Amino acid sequence: MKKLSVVLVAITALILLLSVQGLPGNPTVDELSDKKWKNEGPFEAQRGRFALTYSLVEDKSFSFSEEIARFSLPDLGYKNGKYVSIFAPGFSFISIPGYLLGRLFGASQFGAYLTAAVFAILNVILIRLIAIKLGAKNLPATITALIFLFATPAFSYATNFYQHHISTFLMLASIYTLLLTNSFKGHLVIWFLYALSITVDYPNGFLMLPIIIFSIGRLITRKKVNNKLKVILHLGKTIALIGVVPVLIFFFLSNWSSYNNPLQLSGTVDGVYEIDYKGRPVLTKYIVQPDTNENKIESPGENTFLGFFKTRNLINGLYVHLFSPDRGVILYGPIILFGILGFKYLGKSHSKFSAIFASIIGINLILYSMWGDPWGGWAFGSRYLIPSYAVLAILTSFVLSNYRRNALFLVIFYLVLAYSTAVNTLGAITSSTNPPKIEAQVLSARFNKDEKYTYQRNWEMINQNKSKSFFFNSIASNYLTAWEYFIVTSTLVLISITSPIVYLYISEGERKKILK
Amino acid sequence: MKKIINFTFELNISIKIIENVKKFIEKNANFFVAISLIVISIYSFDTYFRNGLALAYNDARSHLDIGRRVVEGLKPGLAQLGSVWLPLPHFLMIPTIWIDFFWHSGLSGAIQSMVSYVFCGLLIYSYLKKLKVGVFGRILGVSVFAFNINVFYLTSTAMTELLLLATMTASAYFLMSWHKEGKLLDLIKSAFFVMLSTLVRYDGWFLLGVVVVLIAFNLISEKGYKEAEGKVILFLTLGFFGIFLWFLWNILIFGDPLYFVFGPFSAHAQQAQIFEAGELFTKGNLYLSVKAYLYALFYNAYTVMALLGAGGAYLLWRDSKINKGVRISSLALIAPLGFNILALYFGHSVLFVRGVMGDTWFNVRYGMMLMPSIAIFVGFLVDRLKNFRYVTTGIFMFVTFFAILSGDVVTIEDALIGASGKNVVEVSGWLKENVTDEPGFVLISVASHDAIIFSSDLPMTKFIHEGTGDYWDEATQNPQEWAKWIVMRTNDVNDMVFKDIKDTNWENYYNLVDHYPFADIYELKPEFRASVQTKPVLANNK
Repeated sequence: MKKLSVVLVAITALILLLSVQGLPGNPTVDELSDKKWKNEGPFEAQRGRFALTYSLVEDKSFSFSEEIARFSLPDLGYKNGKYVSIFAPGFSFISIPGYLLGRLFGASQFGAYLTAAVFAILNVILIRLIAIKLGAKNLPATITALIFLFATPAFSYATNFYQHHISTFLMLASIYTLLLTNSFKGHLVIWFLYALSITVDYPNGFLMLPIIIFSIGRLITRKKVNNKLKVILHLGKTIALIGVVPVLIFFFLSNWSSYNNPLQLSGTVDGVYEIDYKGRPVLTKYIVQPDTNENKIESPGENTFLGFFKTRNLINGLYVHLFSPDRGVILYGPIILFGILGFKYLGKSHSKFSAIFASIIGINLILYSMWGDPWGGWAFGSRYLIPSYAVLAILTSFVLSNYRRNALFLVIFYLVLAYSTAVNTLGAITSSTNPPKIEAQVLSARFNKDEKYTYQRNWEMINQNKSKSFFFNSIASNYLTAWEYFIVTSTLVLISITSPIVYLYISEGERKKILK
Repeated sequence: MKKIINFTFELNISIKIIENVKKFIEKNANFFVAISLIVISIYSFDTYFRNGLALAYNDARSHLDIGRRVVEGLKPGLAQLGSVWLPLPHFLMIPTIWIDFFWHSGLSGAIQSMVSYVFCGLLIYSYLKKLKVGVFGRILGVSVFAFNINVFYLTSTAMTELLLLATMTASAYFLMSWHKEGKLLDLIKSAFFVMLSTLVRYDGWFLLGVVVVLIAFNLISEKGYKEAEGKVILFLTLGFFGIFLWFLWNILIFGDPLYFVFGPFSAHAQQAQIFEAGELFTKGNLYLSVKAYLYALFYNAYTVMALLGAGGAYLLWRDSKINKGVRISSLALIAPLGFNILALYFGHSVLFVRGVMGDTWFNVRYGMMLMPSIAIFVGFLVDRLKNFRYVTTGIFMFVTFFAILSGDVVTIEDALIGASGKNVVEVSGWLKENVTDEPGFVLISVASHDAIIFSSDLPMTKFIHEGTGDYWDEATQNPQEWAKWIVMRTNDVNDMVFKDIKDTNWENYYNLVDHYPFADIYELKPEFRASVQTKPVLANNK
């Protein structure tokens, strides 16, 4: 089993190394906004979090210099006469070691980007451990852990600078802690992870609620003794709540340093639309947006965190996440939908965890369907659902455990898997910035050019010999075209997952025969 | 430290006490549910009365005026119940509408909505109980209905939705009960409530058809044709009585049994105008009809609840432990879905969903018609999916929390934006300021401007309208002799006043004193005022 774990980590790490986006070099503040790094390079989207990491390390400052502010646009805030980050600070802090390590080797951006990859590997390990702990067989658990990472949009977000894998890690780590122990230490860890998750991404506060509620529920035990019901409240364990204190201190200090207000949430500061030639901000709230398009993508209106979520958006949001051609899971990771069948099996053996998993998926899906921008800006697949992909992967391991000898099922499963793997490898090594359909249509009309919005856009990139992979750009491009690189990577991914599936199908007896 | 961490608090409760508490709750649950719903409904009215939204729908004001005209006006009486809208809601207003406060606060109409809200909640509870759903599922089902803010809002208004929901749900409940227990009295009760619903809105007529088909289908397959024939006739005798009365009413008052269908103020006439304007998008288009209604439904039910309800319905219909007849009878719960889609498809109804169909809201509140059904199905779902009981509850609370937080009340937007929310404040404000203390009548069409009459706060006796018999006839022939003021949409023949006076030389007698988007106000020139009638002088007004 240990060998299997080592092989699993090694394969995952290798594939991620081949895929993580980046360019060699330590970009200076003047170089950050260069076309090479920005529009055509690894900073094509979501620069805000990296900007904070950069500012913290290079300028030792929570507020941005004008150059970093320009680089960070449009994800930029303005408070008390300073340019500031509009993102929760956790991820930027966590990626500092990666940035420093990378800088040491002349690849600071790549180092920082590896942070997400490291957490992605940890997620693979945790998914496998949780599945096994819940009763799945070793091999199915291993396969589905790989499926999570390489056959869903989680792959794309393990290769660049997004917070999703850290959020997922904190969620999985909490679930694993729940499975391991009901001790005081366990509760302490769960509260700590919960608080930490909020500093990484505020909506995690909702996403991890089922775990927290379950954890609190464990503080009450009931026993029937003779004709009495004995209710025991483990009041001492409530002290575990102090697990949030160190994180809160960090959070308040960070907010105080950034906004002069410990309780100010980063997403609620004034947004900056652009910076004028004198370096002055033009605030988003003063920009009058034309309100003509009935299907326009709403920008969050109210400056309160909870005000960004509206039940009116649910129909559109659910469609976007589940069925739409630009983000729908049915198009970008259909393999993970097999996990839904897993409730049938897990419900029988671990009904409480089955309920926790259903809650996490439900909250995840509903929360981000209420979000004004369910597309997640320019993105690849539904990035907000990565925590759900992880949970569904765990559930898939039970499906695979139960159908491992069913050849027809395995063939269908494999075909869907091959498709999902190819699509997501394409996204991972090219770009995770596909426009939402509606924006693509506007761009097409404006520039009289057919702007693709599905993974066809990534396919176009590959055919134009473009890849954002660090390894491709630094070494492999000398020997392979981007298309060949895609074939090599996706084949490697597919073989990694296929081999254990084949191995799984062959029964003990047949295995022995083959070995003879 | 270890001691502190391991500190526990123990509670020993006798199982007998727990059982007794459970029994007590079970026994008195109806009472607790009723009390809770009464409190919520009062809170609902108080909330929207204070913030001025209780009468946001112009239709709510018109309903109140119809009720008021029965007891006050130049020609009071039951004939004022009208021909377009079905009469029961207005009839129920009669005991209170004569009190000015009840009229102008909207309470006269809201009371029946509030009572219906409580009744509907209790029916949901009872329906689930009959399906052997546990207390938890029953309470959750009631909560899904009670805490829906669209329902909450319409509870405070003088609209007809809640009364319709209550009567339709009651009919469905007794139908199911009859299928389950075979008591003839339940069938008669079902017929009685469906009869009431046929007197509230035309949705009830469709329900009557559906229920008859369900009864016939079930009886033919179970007990043969003869038994089916007898029971259907028995059911229709009472169930159809309301429709019969309505036909009779139309013959007696308007001389045409189908006046309500083809009359000048009928939905058919309105839809014909919309069709001519090219805005009846759903007519003849099933896809758009389904889409429009589903959007309205999802907006009203906050999508997730509707989806959970669909899941519950699926579980109910495939649950072989439940009597087949009961399952078939539960199809009555989804009658509003069929009715609304068909009404849109055939062009009898119009629905605008902002951002989906047109750039305004209109009648989107129709999507609320399935709320009791959704509540029942969700309650059933929660009971059957025991492992996910708390998940479903959590999701309900989560969605409701955000619905409240984001102020997602599409029924209020429906009232304030678009055709339902014409701003009549300017016209009614002018009348209030200039007419209140002056003698003389206002000539106005209630079909077009009832909301103006209501908002002016003037007594009903001040207005000459289509329902005032001889006054109307006289005033439209010689307006200068009867009307000191005229309120109408000039040059619009859909405005009955303009239509009837356009061939007179009325312009010679009146000055245009104000012009607003929805109506113009004319005042009799000073030189003709001496001869204008200012008192209700006509005796034996016909």
